[in-house]
Amino acid sequence: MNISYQWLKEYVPTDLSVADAAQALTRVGLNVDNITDLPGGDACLLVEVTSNRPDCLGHLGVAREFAAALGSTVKLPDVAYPESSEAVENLARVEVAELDLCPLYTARVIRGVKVGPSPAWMAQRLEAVGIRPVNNIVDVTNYVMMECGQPLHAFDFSRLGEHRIVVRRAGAGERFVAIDHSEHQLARERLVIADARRAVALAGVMGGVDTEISDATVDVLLEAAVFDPLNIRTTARALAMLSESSYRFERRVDPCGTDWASRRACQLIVQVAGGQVARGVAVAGKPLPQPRTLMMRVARAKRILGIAIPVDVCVDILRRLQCEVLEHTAESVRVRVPSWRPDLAREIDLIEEVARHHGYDRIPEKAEVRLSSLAVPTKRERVREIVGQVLTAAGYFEAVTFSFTSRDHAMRLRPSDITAEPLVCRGTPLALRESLTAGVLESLAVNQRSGEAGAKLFEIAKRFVPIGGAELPRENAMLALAGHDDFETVRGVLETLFGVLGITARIRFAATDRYADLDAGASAEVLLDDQPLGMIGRMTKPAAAAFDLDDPPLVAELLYDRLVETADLQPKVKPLPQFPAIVRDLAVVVDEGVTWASLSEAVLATRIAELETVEPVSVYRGKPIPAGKKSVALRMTFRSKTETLTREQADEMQARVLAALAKAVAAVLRT
Amino acid sequence: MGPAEVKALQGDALARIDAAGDLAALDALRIEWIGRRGGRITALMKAIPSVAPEERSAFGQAVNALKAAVQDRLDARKAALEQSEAKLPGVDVTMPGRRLELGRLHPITRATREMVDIFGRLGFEVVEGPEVEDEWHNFVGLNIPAEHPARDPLDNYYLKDHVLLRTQTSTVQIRVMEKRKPPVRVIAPGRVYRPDTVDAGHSNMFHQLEGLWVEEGVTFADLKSVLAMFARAFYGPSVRTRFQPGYFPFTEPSAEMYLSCLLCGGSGCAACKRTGWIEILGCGMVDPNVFEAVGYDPEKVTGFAFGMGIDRQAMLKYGIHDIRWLFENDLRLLRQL
Repeated sequence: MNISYQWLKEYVPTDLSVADAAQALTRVGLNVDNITDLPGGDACLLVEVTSNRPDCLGHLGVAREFAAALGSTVKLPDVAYPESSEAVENLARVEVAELDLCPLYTARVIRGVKVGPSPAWMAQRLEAVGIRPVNNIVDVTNYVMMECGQPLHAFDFSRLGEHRIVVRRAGAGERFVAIDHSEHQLARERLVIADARRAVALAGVMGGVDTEISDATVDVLLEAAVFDPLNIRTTARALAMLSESSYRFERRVDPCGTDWASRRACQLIVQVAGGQVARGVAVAGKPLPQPRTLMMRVARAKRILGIAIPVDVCVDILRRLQCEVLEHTAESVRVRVPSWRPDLAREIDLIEEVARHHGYDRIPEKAEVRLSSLAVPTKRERVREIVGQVLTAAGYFEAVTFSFTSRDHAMRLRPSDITAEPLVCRGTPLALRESLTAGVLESLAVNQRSGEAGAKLFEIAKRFVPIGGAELPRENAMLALAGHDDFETVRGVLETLFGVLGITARIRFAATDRYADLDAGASAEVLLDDQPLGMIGRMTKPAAAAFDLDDPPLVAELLYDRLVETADLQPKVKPLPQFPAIVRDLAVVVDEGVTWASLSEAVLATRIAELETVEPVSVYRGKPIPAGKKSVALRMTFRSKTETLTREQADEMQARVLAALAKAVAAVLRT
Repeated sequence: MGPAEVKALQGDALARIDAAGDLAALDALRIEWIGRRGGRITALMKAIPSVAPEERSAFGQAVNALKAAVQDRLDARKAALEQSEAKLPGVDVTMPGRRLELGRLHPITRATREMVDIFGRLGFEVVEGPEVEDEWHNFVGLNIPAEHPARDPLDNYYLKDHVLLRTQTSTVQIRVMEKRKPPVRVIAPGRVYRPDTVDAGHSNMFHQLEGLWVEEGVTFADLKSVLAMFARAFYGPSVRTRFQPGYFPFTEPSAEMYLSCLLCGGSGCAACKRTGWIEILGCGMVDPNVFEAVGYDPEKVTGFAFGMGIDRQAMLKYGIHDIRWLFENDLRLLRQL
């Protein structure tokens, strides 16, 4: 809301500088965002008016707060004007067909005006607040709107068919040409001001070109009305016709102030354009709302604010805000609320008023913070910390990427048996990603462009899996990582992470072809106790190209919640072994297709109690190993809990392992 | 060979031992002189019995003295060589070290963690809520009725009827209070979404940290105290705070907290629009309508809530001038953090 300081001072005479005035307004919640010096010693204050204070969308409203802040009073302009003997009812008829959308419509008629430019003082004031002067009649409507917040509209009375005003919904496909010459086919839910034949204005949003005030206008019908906020908003947005008028109707105008605004405009029209105001006002609508009375308990205010504000201070503040104090005791105050304050409807609203004008800075900030329970980091937070430590130590940088992306990227890297359409933000091309990796890959591409092709990134965030019906989609927190490491390295990073998290459940990596964007020869499902934990794999070249990546990266994505659930952050140490171990390396020749999993399982199947570990040492292909075979070296550690093992015992165990391998995977000892 | 000749050998032996350049050469000399088989002194020792009895004693003494001298010198030289060989080649200490290529945490995570730590010490526990929300949790429960301008479909990311991406983490307030009885003292960091035009200061996805403390006897003075403590802990002890009336549908009285400008310290600069103050967060006493929506008795409990943009705090703190940098994840920036 632009406020001309000179204009404001007309209602609240003061010697304060603009800067001091801005500070006074800011202190009571009318934040002054900017001050612009204007010619003639004036200044324009850009006042931020929150949506609960429509009364401050005019200079008078801001003046009331200003006066209350200064402990001063508001000087209201006199709106008296002479009326002609002609009664308005004999000139114009007003009907409202949609009382819910238009609870009040008033019209006055001014005859014999002389349309022309406004006097300089009025034009200057309008320009000071950023409104372009048009002609004296239109300028008066704008002036009054900027004065008291009530939007007005002036029609060329002679062009209103049968001199009738009908407030109704648009007929199906009804045509309307606005003042800005835009043409519209109106939808049924639009509220229009019509004459006997056609729509002459989009109620509260914009007037029509046919009935606008022109140089030829002699008689004027002045509309002052109240419209339903939601309908105004929908219409203004749908037709992209946001105006000063729609802005104010959207935020509610004061029905009890409508008549004042109408009379003020008549007075100003007579003053700047001449003419005679017909006697009376044509009104249609609901009865005006009754003023509200509210009670505020002093003790309640103290319970909210933490300080006791004496009742006489409360009374004084409420009076300054033009609440009528009906009665007050040491415990409470009862007031009648002014009609322009729709935001004052409950006790708490009065408490806020008292706090606001008493001053927030008078509420102390030295309270002791009492603790009723400890807030220790949750397991989830601790896991988050560890994941960050392990992955950054492994060279991964944390990324934060957008939850939405293009439709194509949103569907990438999900299992190919999922075919549902991703969720799209209405009216946008933004789709919620079904795989977190998609976002990380987009950042990988950013880094490739900036010369950081070796970037390794991870992110912890949600993916969104659509499910049918009105239900919210399933949100899974995921951990995704991507970079150009090889499979074993990334798998190693994950295994290290599982280790540090103390996950003891069985983790398996099972080769998979379930992901169309992953290379089937180098990708796996990650299973935790045979339940899905995630995936890891090398992307296919085309999938990488879809993210503008030159080389296919290695990606992994895990269900973060499962990591949190299965993590064991309470380590327990075991006693150190009492007897030495015997370590044996064994090289066996097997078919190319024999996996490490099948080899190690065969070794473990011997159930040798003394077998502590079995791990791969190396894999060799080439001479003298025949084609189609490979030599795998494995290392076994044997240890007894009760004695020092002898060479002979180890030989025997090794022989059992070899026999088991021969039987399970046709392994032959490499000689 | 007489004792004099034996003695004469000593000079040669000792000189050669002193000249030995490394342990291998020294070992060769040891073998040459006192090697068990074929050593020159060893041979002399073996020859002692065959020397004429009258000369035997002098000869023997001379040989033993030679052996002892050679042995001593061998030992000394060996110790010296071992010491010098144990010394590794010198290094150029002015060369830069080989650094570990560690990753870094994202500035949003770092700022969030710092906030969580501070509020944790004040008894606030971390909770989370869904990012896709229904209108009840995003609006109605928060006292934002249908005609409120914030409900405009153009100002929200709707996914389907009544379902949208949350526009504020305040939704978590409702979700927590629906499930728990007071006292409640929680913070909820997370992502929020608004269809803002993206520029240096705006992003259509950003992060907020919501806080809520509901208990009997919680007042506006507690609100001011907690948030002023937070500000000093997060931005430094010299920072000043100011509370000014504001408006949020879900709090009343509502306030905005301002911080003495971090750049100019309050004297006024371009960053604070010459006011000396920057707005940092919104807060207020929980509106009774919110308590009623979640089944709390507003006559019994009071509470305060606050919400702040994490991105903005991170930008202020780490000197990031464009919010878009936060979501590009360019290593050239992340490495500096």
